[in-house]
Formats: sequence, structure tokens, C-alpha cells
Amino acid sequence: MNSDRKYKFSWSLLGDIEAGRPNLGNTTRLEVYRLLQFAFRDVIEQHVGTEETDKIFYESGALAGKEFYEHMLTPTTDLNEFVRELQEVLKELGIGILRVEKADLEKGEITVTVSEDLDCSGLPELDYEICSYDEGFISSLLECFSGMKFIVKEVDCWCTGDRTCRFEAKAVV
Amino acid sequence: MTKAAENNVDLFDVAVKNLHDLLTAQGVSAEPPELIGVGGYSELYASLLEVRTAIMAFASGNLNYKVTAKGYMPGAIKALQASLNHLTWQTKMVSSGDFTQRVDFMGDFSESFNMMVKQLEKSRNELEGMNRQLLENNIKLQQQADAIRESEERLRHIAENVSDVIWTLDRSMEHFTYISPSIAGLRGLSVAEALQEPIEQAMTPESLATLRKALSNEIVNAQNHHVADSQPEVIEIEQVCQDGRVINVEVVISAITDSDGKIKEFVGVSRDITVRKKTEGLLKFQSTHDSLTGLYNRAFFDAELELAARGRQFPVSIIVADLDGLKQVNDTLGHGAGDQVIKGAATILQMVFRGNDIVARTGGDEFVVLLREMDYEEAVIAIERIRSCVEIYNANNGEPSVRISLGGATAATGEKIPETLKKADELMYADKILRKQQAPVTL
Repeated sequence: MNSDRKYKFSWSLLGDIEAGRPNLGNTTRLEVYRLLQFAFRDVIEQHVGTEETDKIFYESGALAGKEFYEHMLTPTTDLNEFVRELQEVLKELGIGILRVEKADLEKGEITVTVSEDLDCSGLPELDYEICSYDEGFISSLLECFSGMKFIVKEVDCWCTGDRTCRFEAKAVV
Repeated sequence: MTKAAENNVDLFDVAVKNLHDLLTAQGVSAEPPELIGVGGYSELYASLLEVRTAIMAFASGNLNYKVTAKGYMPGAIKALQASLNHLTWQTKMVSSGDFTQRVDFMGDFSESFNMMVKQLEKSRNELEGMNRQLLENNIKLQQQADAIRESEERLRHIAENVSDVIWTLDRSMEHFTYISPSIAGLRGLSVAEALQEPIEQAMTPESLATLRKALSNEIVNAQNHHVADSQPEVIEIEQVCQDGRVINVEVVISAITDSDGKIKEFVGVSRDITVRKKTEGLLKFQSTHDSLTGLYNRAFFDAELELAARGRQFPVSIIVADLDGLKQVNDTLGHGAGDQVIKGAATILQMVFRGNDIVARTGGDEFVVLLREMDYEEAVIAIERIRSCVEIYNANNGEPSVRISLGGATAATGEKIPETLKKADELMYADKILRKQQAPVTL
């Protein structure tokens, strides 16, 4: 990998929004976010294909999840506390309503659902799960919390006719 | 209607019945063979069967059933499944002590669940508060127990190192339950021997009666709820030592009662007061007796004279005796000889009188005898008996001889006693003058 990359992420790139948007503030319409994401998805797919696009979005979500954990959450070893704070922050930021269906860290198996998901809720039925960014995002959050690497797969999605997105996470042994 | 149309109507009826059974019948009706591959019927049948199976699984409590069908209705069922699974997880979290869990997606149930969790949290906090209180109480009790143990250790150390004997006696008043090791110093017994010894053998019968009376007093005080206010009973008893000696023992007794005021046992402290008793006896003797002769002294005689005056043992006779020539004996033969004369006079008087007569040396050479229930005639006989004894004494003891002037008088009532004493004194002087005239003293 090139060490003098142009677009290497840092939290500071999010900028000083209070200073930069004194009148418009720290919110925008959700369509704008989705416009951005689906425009990226379209162009990237044209360049690298569907599978590689999904991979890019998964890895982007993983990068975001790692930064999000470091900057938005309080480090803890207690699963309950971790989930509680994550639920609060995701809800407060309007990302989605997180619920835990199952959590067995000893087995390395966790199933969560996200309702009113930022990425997909309300999308037309597309016959395929679309939340690959969320998959990577959740995998990084779990890895940062537990120290174990997780593979996350979305098994139900609004886009496949479901009302809530369900993610199954399994630790990589 | 054409044949084809008739066939379609038949197929429609079969399809309707099959789907109706799928929705309402208890048993699952299989897909009719004639509809397989007809216009997407198989996919519709499969989806409805999946929905039915999923609902039946959830209804029977199997929330892990994996719904594979896609679409709005399966999606709604999955949403319900997700909610129930999340609720299950939340319940587990609550059971593990996480009372921050709240349900906000199940209508009235959410309110009830959240209220239950809050109540559980409140109950847990109350229990924790009670637990903390119990722990604090336990610590206090432990501290009190430690303090009691230290106190007992201190008291045991004191009990085992003081010369006084500390003991406890059961409420039957028969068996000692503890005796401190200093019993060896007091009575020459080991603790084991003292504990096995019957209480009757531990002291004289009179002392045992005294002890039991004191113990009974303590019981009465306890029954009257006066134990806390009452002073301990203090008695003096006599105890027999291992070597047969009888010693005087002062015993301080207290009753130990329970919270209801019932006697649990008695605790006592015994102290050897034999030396003190002897000293007290000696002091008492010295305060009432003449040190040279052993006769009563002037103070005792005066007190007895007053008692006699107030008493009923009349007539009371008084004999006054005065040595003749004592000064000459002292001056010429020395005070040793004078003392010998005085002792001789005392011996003579003790020979003559009864044990309960009061024979006193009231001055250097003066003696007085107080005789209760003795009339004048008897007193005269007593005077004569003194004179006889003087002669006998002098005959047996040589010089310097004892010579005594005597006078006696009798009082019929107490009022007459001072007058009687004076009269006896006057008669004694009259006798002295007469004796000088008859036989002047020469040495």
C-alpha cells in the first residue's frame, strides 16, 4: 500500500461543523446521505464490479466502525454497558434502532437487528441485501469491544421485504 | 362454458380450497398435483406454507425458527421475531442485574415491562440497603463480640492472678461452676478439688447458713427487680483449709440475672481476712481491757455501769477495791514490783468473781467490780472472800504482798447507781483508814 496516500481517513476530516455551518447546522436530509452512498455504489460497481463494490463498502464500514468506536464510545469490557451505550448513540445520531437478539461471546455468536436503518429502511424491494456498509461497521464495533475479529452477514433486509435488518456476527477463530 | 373454461373453474375451486385449508385447517393440506406448475401457484403455496409454519413455531415458543421467505408478510413476522428475541435478551440482561433495559416497541407491554424493571431495581436497591445494614450490624456485632472476648480475657487474667478467690455458683446454690486458681492459696485446694467438693464441706455449718441466707436475699432482690440497684451482699464466714485450719473469709456476693430478672447464677469474691479479724479482735480487746492486768478498763466499766443503770438486773452491787501502799512499793522496790502487786490484785479478783461479773481496773491502784443481781449481803460475802483470797495469795507469793482496802454498796434501782458507787468508794476509804490504823504499811 502506498504510504503517502491522498485520502487516508482521519477523524479530523469530518471537520469543525459548528464553525463551518453556523446557519445550516449539523443535520441534512437523509436523502442526501443516500444519494451520496448510492451514487458511489453505482460508479464503483461500474469500475470494479458488484462483488468488489460490496467488499469496498464492507471495508469502508469497518473503517468507520473502528473510528466510531474510538471517538464515540466509552471503552468497556461489559457487554451490557457496550450495547446500552451503542443503542443510545445510534439512536441519538439517527443511525438506527439497535436490538440484540442473541449474544454469546463465548461461542462468538451475536445476532442483532437494526430497525429504521439509515442505509436501507424505506428502500424499494430489490431482492438482495444491501447493507454491506453496516456489516463492516458492526464487525469493527464488535472487534473493538471484544478484541475478536468478527465476520458479519446481513440475513434479512428491508430491501428483501423485511421490516428490520438482521445481522449475524460470528467470531473468526 | 367451454371445456377449458370448465377446467379453469375446477382448478380455481381446488386452489381456493387448498389455500383456505392452509389458512384454517389444523392439518397441512398438500399442494394439489393438478396445480403444480400452474401460474406461480407453487411459489404462492410455498410462501404461505412458510408463513404458516413460522407462525406456528413462534406460537409454540420456538423463536429460533429461521424464516426463509421474503416479502412483506414474512418480513412482518421476522420483525415480530426480532422483537421477541430482543425482549428475551433484555430479560436475560435484567436477570443478570442490568436494570437499565427498557422496552419501547411493544405498546402496553412496554409500559408494564419497564415498570416491572423499575420495581425490580427499586427492590434490589432496598435489598442492597438492607444487606448493607445487615453487614454493618454484623460488623458491629463482631466488634462487640471481640470487645466481649477481650473483656472476658481481661477478666480471666485478673481472676487468675489476684489473691482473692473469684467463683460462680449455680442457682441451685449447691454447685460451684467456676473457682479461680487462687483457691490454692486460700484453702490449699486445687481448682478441680474445690469444684468437686460438696458445698457443706467448704465451710462451717454456721457459715453455710450465713451464705445461704445471703444468697436468698439476692434472690429476693432479683424477684423484686432490685438487683441493678442493690448493693452486693457482704458476709463473713469461716472455712476449713486442706490442712485443717479454720480461716475467716469475707465474701462479696452478687446475683447474675437474665433479661427477665431471673437468677442465672451467683458470682462471689472470697478474701482471707483471718489476720484482719485477729487484729480487729486485739484492737477491740485493747479498747476495753487494761493492758497490764487483762481486766476491763475504765471506759468499759463506765459503759457497763450505764447499761446496768438502764437494765433490769437489780439489785446491783458495786465493790471498790484500792491497793494499799502501791506508791511505796513503786518508790522503794521499783515499778516492776508495783506492777506485780497490781497483777496480784487482779488475779485475786478474778479468783473471786463470776465470769459475767465486771471486774475492772479503773485507776492506777483502783479496781471496781460491778455485780448484777447481787444484794448487799452477797456483796459483803464477796468482800470477805476477797480478803480471804488476799491472805491465801500473799501466803503463796511472798513480798511484796497485796493489800487491798474494800468498800461495797448495793443499788436497788438504776437511779441509785451513781450514789451507790460513791458510797462504795467512801466505804473503801473508811476501810483504808481503819486498816492504816490497825496495821500501817511497812516495807
